[in-house]
Amino acid sequence: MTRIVESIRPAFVALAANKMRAVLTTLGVVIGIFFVLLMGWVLNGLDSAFTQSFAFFGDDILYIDKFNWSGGEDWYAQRNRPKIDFRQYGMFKERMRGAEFVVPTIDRFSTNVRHENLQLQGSMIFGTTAEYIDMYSGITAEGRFFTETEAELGANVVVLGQKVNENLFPQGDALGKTLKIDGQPFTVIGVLPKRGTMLIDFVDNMSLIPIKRFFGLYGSRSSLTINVKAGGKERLDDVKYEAIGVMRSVRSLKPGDDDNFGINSQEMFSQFIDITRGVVWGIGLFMTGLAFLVGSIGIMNIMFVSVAERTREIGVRKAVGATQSRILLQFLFESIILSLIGAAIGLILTSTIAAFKDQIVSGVIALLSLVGLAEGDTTVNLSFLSSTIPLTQVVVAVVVAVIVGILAGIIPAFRAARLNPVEALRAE
Amino acid sequence: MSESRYQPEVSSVNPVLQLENVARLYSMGDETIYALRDVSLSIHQNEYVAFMGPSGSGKSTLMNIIGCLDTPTSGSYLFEGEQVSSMNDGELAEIRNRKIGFVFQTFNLLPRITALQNVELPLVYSGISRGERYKRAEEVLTSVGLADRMEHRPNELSGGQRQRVAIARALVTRPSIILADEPTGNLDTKTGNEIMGLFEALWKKGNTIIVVTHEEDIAAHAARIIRLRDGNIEQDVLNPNRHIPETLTKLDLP
Ligand SMILES: Nc1ncnc2c1ncn2[C@@H]1O[C@H](COP(=O)(O)OP(=O)(O)OP(=O)(O)O)[C@@H](O)[C@H]1O
Ligand SMILES: [Mg+2]
Repeated sequence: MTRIVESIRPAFVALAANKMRAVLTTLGVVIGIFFVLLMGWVLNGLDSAFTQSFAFFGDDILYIDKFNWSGGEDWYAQRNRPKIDFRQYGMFKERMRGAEFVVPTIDRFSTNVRHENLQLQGSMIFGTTAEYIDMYSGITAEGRFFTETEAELGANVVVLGQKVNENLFPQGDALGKTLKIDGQPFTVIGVLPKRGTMLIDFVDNMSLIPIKRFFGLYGSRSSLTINVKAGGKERLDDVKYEAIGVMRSVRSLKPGDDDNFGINSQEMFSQFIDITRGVVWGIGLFMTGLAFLVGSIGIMNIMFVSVAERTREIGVRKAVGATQSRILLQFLFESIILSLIGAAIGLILTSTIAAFKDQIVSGVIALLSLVGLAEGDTTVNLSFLSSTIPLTQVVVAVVVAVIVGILAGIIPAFRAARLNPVEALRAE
Repeated sequence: MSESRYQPEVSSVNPVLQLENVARLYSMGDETIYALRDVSLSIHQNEYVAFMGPSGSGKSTLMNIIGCLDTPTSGSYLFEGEQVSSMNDGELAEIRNRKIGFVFQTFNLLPRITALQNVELPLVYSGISRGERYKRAEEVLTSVGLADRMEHRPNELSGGQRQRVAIARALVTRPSIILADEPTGNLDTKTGNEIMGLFEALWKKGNTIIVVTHEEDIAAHAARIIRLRDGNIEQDVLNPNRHIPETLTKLDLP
């Protein structure tokens, strides 16, 4: 322990004598650590964004759909599958035993929703039944969801997603108002709370109407999705198994036939998450690797200079009793400290960016709009990124910096340790 | 040759240093330079020896070998009865640290640290605690008359003061042997004499002193003078009329 402390002190003396050089040398490490932290920070943010986003879908809900959401194998074949219609939903619901909820949903984009002179293009119209709201937490922010009777009758009532609400009723006075969906009047009876995140905001950009009314409005040509809530993640597999069987019987499939429908769950998104993570990792690792390579070459170079400049010092130390290992340690610590200085600067840099992320982004947008590259009112929601660097990232950065310091310093330190004392003393 | 060889008075006592047919050569391309050709000598505890000889005769080379900074190309060197050539780096470092104190012509102090820290340096490598180190370094610096210069860096000190710091550094681990390679070479006569006074006091206290010098005046302080020429010992004699320095520096070492 004392050996280590005693080896650190001369390193500081040496570095203090050349502060500017020390800082410049660490530039590569600064950038490397900067990338490591940035990458960790963004990945962390993405992870929490994903978890938040897909929590909306519920981890115990299956989606029986015409398509397998994970895409993949012959999409054309999937296109030719029969659609899921309301009758099939009815049969499915009747036969399904193990599920907590079985709810049909159908959606349509590119609609025109307007209230007086405000209108919204391309938001989503969502047809469903009264059970929908119970399946998803049962809460409306304002007003209420439509009742079974209203759903059955196909009443002209609508429940608005938060974004539709904000856009058409900036005053927050939506309840009781009549708006027009593709020309047809609907009375607003409720508003849903904000459910989406940056990654999936379509869930807030929708208007929900009784599914019967949806068919009245748009016809019943498109396929619907049967939402099956298992009522607990542990039951998901059983329910999935049953659902496949039930759906096959609804479709009257023979034992040898392939399923002509998709059973989807939240986990499907994990593929998407993995790809995104992979891309961030790939870019991050490449940049980091490059920066550390440059960084360690820089440190190694300066360590060679340091050893050369202090050849005589090394001779003196040996003459008064320093072993090779003590000299090795001294220079190794110098190099590790250099690298850690770089890490500290990188950490400060990244923390600053994390803390001021919103200001920085709006600054960049302002700058871009000045030169006409962005709309002045562009906003980017960065709430998925935390405003501090997670501690684990800091630990990783420190460990990486120490490793870089050792790798960069080991050869110069060995050279110093193995110097012949007589020749070293004769230097200069 | 044999009549000029010095025979110790107490031959029953084992010598501290014993060199037998030591050679040290350097290969410069296809040329071989003999820094030392064939040197045999023994030095006992509490001797005061001066190495003399023309430039390039091998004095420093011999000194470095004796001080375990360098190793002979051939021949045998026993330090306190142990073969130096069979020692590893750790053992050599320990001898340099505890048994030998080196004083150089160019002082060789580390420029960025204080006099006190320079003197502490050997103790760092003997694993002495910080507090004890400070105490001992302070003690030794005081004994060489530098109590008021301890926090100064080497470039804030005169040559004589620097050499006294270097001597303090050599003494701080209480080694029995002091090796000084032209310790007065960079000093004026008066300051040089003060330094020789320090060596005199150390010798009186029982240390073994070996000094390399060009100057007869300096060599005159020694009790035994060994003259080298072309890597060989030319003469090895007792000094009948030792010069005892007037400025006998008081040295209150524990
Ligand atoms: N590293 C080396 N490579 C080649 N030759 C060397 C080396 N070191 C010493 N020599 C040679 O060995 C011989 C003895 O050198 P040494 O330094 O021992 O002489 P010296 O007696 O101390 O001389 P001076 O009084 O000038 O200090 C010289 O000829 C020198 O050139
Ligand atoms: Mg010499």
